This record gives sequence, C-alpha cells and structure tokens, in this order.
Amino acid sequence: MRVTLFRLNLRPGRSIFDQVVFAAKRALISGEFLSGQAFPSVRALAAELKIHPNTAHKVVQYLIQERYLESRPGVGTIVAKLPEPRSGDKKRLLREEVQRLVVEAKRMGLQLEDLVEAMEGEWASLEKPLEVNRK
Amino acid sequence: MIWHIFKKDWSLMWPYAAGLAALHFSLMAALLRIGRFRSAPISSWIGPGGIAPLEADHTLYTLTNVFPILSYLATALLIAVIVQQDAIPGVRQDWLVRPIHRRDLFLAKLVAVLVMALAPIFAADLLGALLNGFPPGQSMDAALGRSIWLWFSLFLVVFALASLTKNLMEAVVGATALTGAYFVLQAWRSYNPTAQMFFVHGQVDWIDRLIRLGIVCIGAAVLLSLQYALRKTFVSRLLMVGFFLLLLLVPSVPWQTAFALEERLSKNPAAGNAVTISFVRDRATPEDRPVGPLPYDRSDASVMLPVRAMGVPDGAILYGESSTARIITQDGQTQMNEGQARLQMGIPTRGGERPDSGKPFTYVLRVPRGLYSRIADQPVRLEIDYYLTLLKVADTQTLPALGGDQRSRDLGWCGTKVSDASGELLVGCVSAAAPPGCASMVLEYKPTGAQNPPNGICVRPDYSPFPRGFGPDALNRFTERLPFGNPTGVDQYPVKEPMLPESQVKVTMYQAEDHFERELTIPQIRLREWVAAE
Amino acid sequence: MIRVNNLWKRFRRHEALRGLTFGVTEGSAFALIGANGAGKTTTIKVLMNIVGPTRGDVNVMGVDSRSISPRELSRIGYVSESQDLPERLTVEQYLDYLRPFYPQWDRELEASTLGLLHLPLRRRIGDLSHGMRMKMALACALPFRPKLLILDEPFSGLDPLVRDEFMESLIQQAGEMTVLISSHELSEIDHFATHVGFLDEGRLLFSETMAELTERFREVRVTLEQPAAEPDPLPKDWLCVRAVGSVVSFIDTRFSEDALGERIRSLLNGVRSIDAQPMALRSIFTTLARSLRDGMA
Repeated sequence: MRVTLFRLNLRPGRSIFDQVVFAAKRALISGEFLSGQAFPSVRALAAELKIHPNTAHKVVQYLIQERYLESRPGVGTIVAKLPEPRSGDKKRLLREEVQRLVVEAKRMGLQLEDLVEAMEGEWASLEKPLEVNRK
Repeated sequence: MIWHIFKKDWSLMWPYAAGLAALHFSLMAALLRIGRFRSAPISSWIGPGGIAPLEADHTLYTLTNVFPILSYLATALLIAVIVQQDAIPGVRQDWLVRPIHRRDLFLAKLVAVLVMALAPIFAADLLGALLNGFPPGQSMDAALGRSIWLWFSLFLVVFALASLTKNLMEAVVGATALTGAYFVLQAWRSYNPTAQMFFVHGQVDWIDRLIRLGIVCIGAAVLLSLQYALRKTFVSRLLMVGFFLLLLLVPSVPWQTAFALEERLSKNPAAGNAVTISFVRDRATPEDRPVGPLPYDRSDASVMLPVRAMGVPDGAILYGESSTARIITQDGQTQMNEGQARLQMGIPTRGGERPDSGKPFTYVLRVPRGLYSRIADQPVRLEIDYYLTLLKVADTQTLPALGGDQRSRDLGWCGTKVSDASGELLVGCVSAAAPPGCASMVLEYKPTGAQNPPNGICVRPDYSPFPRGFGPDALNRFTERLPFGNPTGVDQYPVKEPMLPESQVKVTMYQAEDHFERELTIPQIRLREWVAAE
Repeated sequence: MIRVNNLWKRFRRHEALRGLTFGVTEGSAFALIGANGAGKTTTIKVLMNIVGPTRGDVNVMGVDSRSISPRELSRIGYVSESQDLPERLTVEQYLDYLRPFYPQWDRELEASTLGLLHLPLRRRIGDLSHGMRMKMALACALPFRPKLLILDEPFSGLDPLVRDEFMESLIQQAGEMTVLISSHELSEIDHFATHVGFLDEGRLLFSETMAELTERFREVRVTLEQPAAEPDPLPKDWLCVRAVGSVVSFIDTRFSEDALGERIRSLLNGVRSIDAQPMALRSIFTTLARSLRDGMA
C-alpha cells in the first residue's frame, strides 16, 4: 500500500530536479517530516515519483548539502533540524523568487494589494500544517 | 552449455522422440513377425512399392512397406522441429539476444538430433538384429553401419536444410519444392537424349552415387557452417540451389574410368590372370543362349561370334560387364568404335554347365545396318575389349527343400518353405553382413542329382560397398522363388513336387574377386559369314 | 556506451535508416521516439546485431555491433514485445534455462524482481497474457545486472497497473545501468528519460538532453489589442502558428526567456500579454510529428 511521500505533481517542462527539490523543501519546512525522521531512500523516491534514480540521487545529495537532510551510516538519510539560513544566500534566493513573483503577477494583471493578500494567505497556511490538512 | 541447451530441447521434444522411437520399434517387431520370407529379388534395393507380399498377411506387409517412409518423414520433421527451436533465419528469436555461442548451439542441436532422431533407429536396428539371432558383433556392425549411412545420405541433409528455414511451414514447402524439382530433373535426364551423359552403364554406378553423396555431404557441411557461423540465410539458400543443381547435373563418371577404378579396387588382383578369351573359328558351335547386348535397333545386323573363355577357376563365375567393339577396315580406318552395353555372361546353361568352363558360347556383335551393308563382304579387323569380373564362392548353404533352417556367416539365416500362395518353393535369407555380390540357388533332387534351372545367378551383381537405398532396417533380406514341376505335366522342371521331401536347395553366394580387361583381336573376318540367317 | 556512426540500413527497396549519428552516454536513460515506421526498432536491431548495417557502423560497449559476442551479450538486457519465446516452457523452466548463460546472475535479485512483478512461475509462457509476457521479458533481463538495458516498445498493450509494476522494477535498477528505451508511451518515460532522440523516416532530427529539450519548447499565446493575422515573415522555429480572433498562438521550438518578448513585439503590433507554458514530452512529440507530416519544420 503506497503512501504519498509528499505532495508533488510533476509539471511538464520544468526541470524535474528543481521541482522535486522545491517540493521536498516545502515538505520539510512545513513540518510534514519531523526532524530525526527517516527520509525516503533514493530508490523509494525514484519509484514513487517515476523519475530516474540518478535524478533522485542528485536531489538527496543536494538536500544533504543544504543541510536539510543528514546521512547516517547504517541508518540512511534522516531529516535534520531546520538549517540556519545563511543570510546572504537567503536574501539572494528570495530576490530571485520575488522578481519572478512580481513578473508573474504583473503579467496576469494583478495589483500589488492582490499579491500581498495572496502571500499572506500562503504564509498562514504553512504555519499551521495540521489545520490545513483537515480542511 | 551444449548439454544445457540439449536439456532444454529434450524437455520440449521428448514426447515426439518417444513416439518416433515407438514407431521404429513397432516396425522392427513387424519385420520380426514376417521373418525371412519377404519378397525381393536378389540385389535390388528394397524400396517402397516394389514389394509384393508372398504370404497372406497383407496388413503386415503393407505396414512394412509404408512404415519406413512414414518413419523417415517423421524423423525428418522431428529434426526440423529440433533445429527450429532456435531457428537461424529470422529476427525474432530470443537466442539472438542471449549470450549463447553459436558453436555451442550447433553442437547442442547436433547432439539432440543424434540422440532423439538417430539413436532410436540404431537401438531398434540393434535389437532387431539380436532378436534375429545374429551375434552381437555383427549386429552392432549392421546397426552402426545403417545409422552412419542414414546420417550421411539423408539426415545430415535434413539437418542442413532445417537450418535454412524459420518454421515448419517453410521447411515443408521447401522440401516439397525440392522434391518436385528433383523428379522433374530426373525425368528430363531419363528422357532427354542429350542427357545420356548422366548415365553410367553397368554395375559400377556406385562410384557415381558416391560422388553425388559427396556433393550432398559437402553441401550440407557448407550450408551448416554458413548458417551457424555467419547467419547468412540468403546466401545459404542460393548455395543450396547451386548444390542441388550440381548434384543432378554433374555428368556421370565415364564407364571406362569407373571400371578402371573398380579394377584398382579388386580384392584379389591376381585372381583373373589366367583368364583368356579367344575366338573359336569353328562354325559348328551351338547357338544356344547367345550372349551379347540387346539390339538398339531391329535393323542392326547381328554378328554371332563363338568365343571361348579359358582359365576360369573351378566354381567361379566369369561375369561380363560390358564390351567395346572396333571394326577396322583394310585401309586402316576405324569404322565403328562402340560400347556394346550390358554384356551378359556367366549364365549357366542346362545341366549345370557353364560357358566359362571352356565350352564356347556365342557373343553377338551388333553392327548398324548401314555400316554392315558397306563392309559385310570385306575382310575387316575386329578388336573387342571385354570388361570382366571374376566372382568366387564366398559362402554356401545346403538346405533341405522343406523346412530348411540354417545359419552361415555371410548368407545369414536362411530357410526354405513352400508358398501356398504361389505354388513355388521359397528360399528366404536374412543377413546382418553386407549384401551378397550376387547369389544363386538351385533345387536338386538328391537321389538322382537332377536339378531345376538355377535362379538368380548374377543377373546384376552389386559391387557397391554401401547400401543402394533405404531399407526398413539394418538387415539384408532376399527371397527367391524356385519353381518346381507339376507331377503330371511335362515341363522344364525335372524336380517335381512329390520329389521335394528328398530334395535340397543349394544356395551359393559369390563375391567379386577381380576386375580386369581382356582384348580379343580377330585380324581378318568377313562379317557376312557369321551373321545368323534371317 | 553506444555510438552510432552514419548508420544506413536498406531493406530491399526501402531505406529504413538514413545516416543516423548519435550517442548514448553511460548511465543515461535515452528515449528514442518517433512515429510508427520511423526506424526505432530497426536501429535497435542493428545495435543488437540482429540485422547488419548497410552502411556505417554502430559501436556498443566498445565493440562493433557486427562483432558482438556472448561476452557483451551477457551484459546486455533486451526487452521487446515481438520476441519468439519457447511457448511450452514454464516461466520457471525458462529462467532455469537462461541462468547459466549469465555469469553475473543474481538469484536474490531474480527472486525480488519476480515478486515485484507478480509472475506465476508454473505457468507456461504460451499461456501468459501479453502484460505478463512483457513483465517476464523484463524479469529475464534484469537479474544479471546488465550494463545496458534495451527496451523496444515495452509498454504497448499493457494496462496501467502493469505499466506501474514494469516501471517500478525498471527504476529499481536504472541507476546502475544505461537504458535505451523506444516507446510511444511518452507520459510513462517523461520524467524518467535523461536524453531524447527523435527519429523521422530514418533520419535523426535531434538528440539532446531532456532538460535542454524541455527548456526550448514553449506553448505561446499572445493576446493582442485587436484581431491580427499570422505574422509575416513566419519565423522558422515557430510551429503550428494560428491566429484566432485577437489571439495568436504558436509553439516556439527555440525558446529564450529574454528574446521571446522582443521577437513577438517586432512581428506583431498591439501586444497585450504573452503567456509561455512549458510542454510535456508527449505534446512536444505530437507537435513535431504533425508539422513533419504537414511538410513544415
């Protein structure tokens, strides 16, 4: 009986690596995985998402590198404590994200208020994951 | 890996192999039941349709006529199916993508064919020979000999052809097409005058058959190598057609060459040294049973020449294979130089005299009418080459005419009985040794020594060291019918039915000792003086 | 792992492959896609030395395809829907038969693969359904840990569950081998393939990484102020260009985020908005196939 690892609909066209990493990060940040819990193996990840094991491998390696996951010999990969964000990277990452977001919003013809409203809603939903799921 | 592939084929095919083996064994049982009295003229190959039953047991006879063909066909099919389990032509076979050495595949198929198709035949032959009372050594030789013969003359070819085809349908269609083409070409060869070069006259055609067998075997080997080593089906099929045409269209060995080879292979090259042929210039010679070639054309002139053969050892037969005659006119021109085909000599006359015992016999020279009318009155020189074979006794048996039952080394196990069906005396022999060069039988009344005309004296001796066709098993059988006289009638049979209980049958087997040529030269002769009155 | 050099193949009068040249790198998952009859199966058959090339050559695992020997074949797995198998052997018997030919055969892997695929061991091959047959073919190709796995239309005729089972087994080992897969079921391999080669009538249109391919294809919709006609001149890398009302739509085959806007504005007036969506492999294929059929591209 298969249980979905984390919410992910692979969209066409975008890099699979990016999508999986994003979904994994989201799951880890929102608390779907608790620190210390075992993270799915490369094989399980690949089988579940129907992606190439090499890609799954790259995802896991990346998450370990970014300290979302820890590799324990004999145990496998486990979820680490949320990393301290490195301030410089964070700002840089966010800037790109924000740029993308603003461009998208403008293309769709949204106003700034709409954008802010949307952001607030999303923030709230990630704060309280359990509540969201019950809905 | 060979054994491994074989095991796979075995597990798939053993039911068919077992069924085929049952067929062979039941054929063997049927032949055992029939026993010795199976009709076949001496020295002719026992083939289907050429056998008429002497006894009332028709079903059994039909069985032994039909079963061999069925069993050969079934064996050929089995071989094809075994080979096609991992067919060579085609692109969908699984073995193509597996790490299987082609050499292993080939050897595994070879082993499978030998074990599943040939071994049952060998076993049935061996058992049949042993049950007929032949010693193990002879039985083994006979069975092995037949298996080897079958392999090289039949099953190797089937194996090679099977490797050219993808499935049973292709194999059957291909075989049918080849058979059809074979018969068509054979018919053309038989009826086409220009194709006479394909025929060897006389009894040394085994050389020709051996050459053709060689072509067949080499062809099969080439095809198998091409297929299993290189997988070149298209080329192989072309080559197959080529070998087939070669087989049928290669000219026969000329008579002289064949006989020269036979001379070299003589068992006892000095045996015939004392034999001479000379012309008897005495016109008062008996004109009975002239010997000589049959006329090609009724308008040919028949020149009867009394000829005497001297130096033939006692009890031996001088057999004339063929002769060539040359007529040279006084101006030195050779007017005729023709093979006079099928010279028959060695036929004993009444009373047991033989022409080769010093008594002259008549040799008939055929001269074309046109030539004859030109030179009949001229003195001409005649040169005749005789191609001769000396046959000596190899084995004899003397059996009582009624209920005879004897064994000897070469003739095998012989018996006599009276046939209810045909009113004749049957002499039947079954032998595990090689078939006789030729054999003859004589019915003799012991008290007076009166003899009926002998049967089967060397009408067509066989010098072939290997079988002529495909018999139903490894044993050689021949049966002769010896007629006996009606008690009240006046006929040419001195030994009559009531005399049978005190009569005996002498069966003599001859073997060729020496082949040689003799030339007869008549320096001057006027043909007209020797032509029979018309 | 595989290197195809100017490969030509002719069957009687039909030119099946015309000058193919591409390579499959070790460890990749290469998808060979193309319309029916494009030459995918022929390419694979030449690779496996089932047929020989007319011209050119193919190099597999370091040797010429015509010289492939059991040494290479013991490291190559092959799955195809049209293989002639011994119908009267059971699955178990057939595996017993194959095992000794492969030195690297792993019995535990065999057992786990069979379990994953739910194959009935005692049933005869001839009695298997099509889906079972394909699964069995895979089960005969994986246990010896091939370095190269070749799949020719493995999904045709398989129901979704069987496809899942098939992919699962495949993905299990995909990390240790190079995979060459020819398939029409593009949605199954969309996320799995790392490289794509597109064959059309025996010619290779392109061969690139999946990332590159998906990066350069976009479905573009341009909304204009007023109804417009097709732009003139029509750029070569825009396919399926259509103008309906005030929307111009096309497939951009050489998408570049920066350049698209400018290009559009240079060709069309009154641009209100531009929407460029990435495309799935299946859509990329149908677009290309359609335009080839219609004589463009």
